[in-house]
Amino acid sequence: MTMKTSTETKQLTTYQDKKIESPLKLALRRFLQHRLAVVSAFVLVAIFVLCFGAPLFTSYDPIGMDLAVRNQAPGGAYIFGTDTLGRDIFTRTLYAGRISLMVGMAAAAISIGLGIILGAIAGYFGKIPDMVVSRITDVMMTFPPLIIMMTVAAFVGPGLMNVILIIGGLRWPATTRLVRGQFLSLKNYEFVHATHALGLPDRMIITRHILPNTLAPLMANITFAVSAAILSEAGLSFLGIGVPLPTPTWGNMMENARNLIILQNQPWIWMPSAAFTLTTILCINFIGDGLRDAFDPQQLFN
Amino acid sequence: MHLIHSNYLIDKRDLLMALLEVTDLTTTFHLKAGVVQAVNGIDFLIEEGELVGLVGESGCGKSVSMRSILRIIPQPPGKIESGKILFKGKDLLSLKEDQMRNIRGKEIAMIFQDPMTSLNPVLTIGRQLTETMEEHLQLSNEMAKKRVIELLDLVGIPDPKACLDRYPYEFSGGMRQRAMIAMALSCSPSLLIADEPTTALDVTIQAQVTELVKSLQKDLGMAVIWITHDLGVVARLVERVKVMYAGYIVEKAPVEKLYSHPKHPYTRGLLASLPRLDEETSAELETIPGQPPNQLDLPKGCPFAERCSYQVEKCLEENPMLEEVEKDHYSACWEKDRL
Repeated sequence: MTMKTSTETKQLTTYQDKKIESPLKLALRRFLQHRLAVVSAFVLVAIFVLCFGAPLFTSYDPIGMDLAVRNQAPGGAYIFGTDTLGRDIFTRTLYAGRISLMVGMAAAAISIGLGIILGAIAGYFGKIPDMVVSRITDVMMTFPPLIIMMTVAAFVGPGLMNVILIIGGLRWPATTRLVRGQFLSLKNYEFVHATHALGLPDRMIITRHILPNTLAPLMANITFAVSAAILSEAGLSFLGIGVPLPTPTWGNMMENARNLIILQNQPWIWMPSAAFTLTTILCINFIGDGLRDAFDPQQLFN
Repeated sequence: MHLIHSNYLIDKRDLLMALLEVTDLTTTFHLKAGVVQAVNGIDFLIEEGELVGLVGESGCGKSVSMRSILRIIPQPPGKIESGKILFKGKDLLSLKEDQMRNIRGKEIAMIFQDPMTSLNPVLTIGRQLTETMEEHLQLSNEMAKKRVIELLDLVGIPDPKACLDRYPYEFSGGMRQRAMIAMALSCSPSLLIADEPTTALDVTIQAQVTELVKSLQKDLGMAVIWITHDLGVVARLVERVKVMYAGYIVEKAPVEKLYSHPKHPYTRGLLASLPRLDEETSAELETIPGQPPNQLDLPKGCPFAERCSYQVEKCLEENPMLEEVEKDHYSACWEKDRL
């Protein structure tokens, strides 16, 4: 192949070959420059692989008891030791991660979904829909979340689905407010007026034109919603009103620490789940920070 | 035979019927501070395929009156108090919202002042142009894309095919305004409302966009209402001009007559305040003294009376109606004969 050296051809090809960067790609590139967020993403992926691929890493049964090996300190056949019923802590921590992460994501999905729908309706249509949604949001936000969650949990009883619904059903007001605010400001932008002037129907204006523009603040909100949901689940399970035993979750594994002897003398029983929870939450929050910076519209198109 | 002949005549007359007929259009904004009288009973006709200029300073009701035609003013606080807007014989103010949506973009399209903000930053140009056609003309995505490429070519965007996947931030202001024009033309509207489309562009691009709209108007035979405060643009572009002040149309005339013999003191003031290349540069630019009236509380008489050097007693008492001074030349002034 011979190289064409004419500047004219060269310029033409560079214009044609210039890679098209969607705002998403731009944001991704900026995200990759955020070192802490990238490291966190790797760690989080590792935690996901460990938890959801648990059978690959351990051959023990997470709920099978073996009273002959109770309260073993870490080392030997049991990397993290065993609990008071002779179950392998490492195995239980991984299987617990599955439940905790799943509850976290499912609950966050519910709360984000509700938040987006209600926020979009309130912000876009205004007037009566806005009044109704905003007042309900205000009332919801006056309740201390943990107290109301405990009350509802005690009322409907423990169970995996119940926990997901309670957390998801109580965490949407923050997202609703965010989305409503975004819609309120975006609907006065010229490009939204232009869509009205072009005669596009409301559903198209909402889903195709305004919603993609709220993605930036939403991304950060979504990650924080996941970490908040994981923490809420841990809190409820710690209090014994979350996911019932023997299903392990990080929360109900930490519940063992309520026993003073275990807290003081057998830290291996509660520390691994606490460490996993802490690492997961930190990672998600760092990723959220990274996403918020990456999607910052002030910097996005620089 | 005689019958057929007269029918033919009626058809001919129907063809010459006005495309848009606005009668007594009044739009207000109900704010906490009071009622802003933005548009006060304006009347005008737009004929098919003609280029009309709507001139006036900021806040005089140009944009509000045009947006009232499309019914895209925010309601509340805005309210169209009265009037009749006949477009192709249909009264737009009595249409249902979904019928109105079929008019917007399809029959009457609008281009906006600032191309930097009137395109959605997170959607590709192709996406934004195709969806109007998919919605109004029920075209498939492929068909719509083909037409978008034609349209982008028509408005003079180089390499239109590659532009489909580009984002607005990759376009310059002039390119964006061209894309906006392509979007407005996508459903072949019979009326295009151009709301100060060149104000945010620099002068060379202004000239290009103006020429583009003029040539498109000729080729496609659509009517264009060009809103502007730039009398220079109006002079070389349009056939007829309407001058607005404080929500009233104060003068309407063919463009040559308006420039050579303005029949309203406000128009005269506007023309006098234009800097001219053929006069001495050190001469001080004439200005119109005072401020436009507060539209929360319009005076009883002529809204321009306070700033007018031709003011007589009657001006403060009674607001003059638009009256024909000579053929096709209307002015709302008590003292129009002195001008």
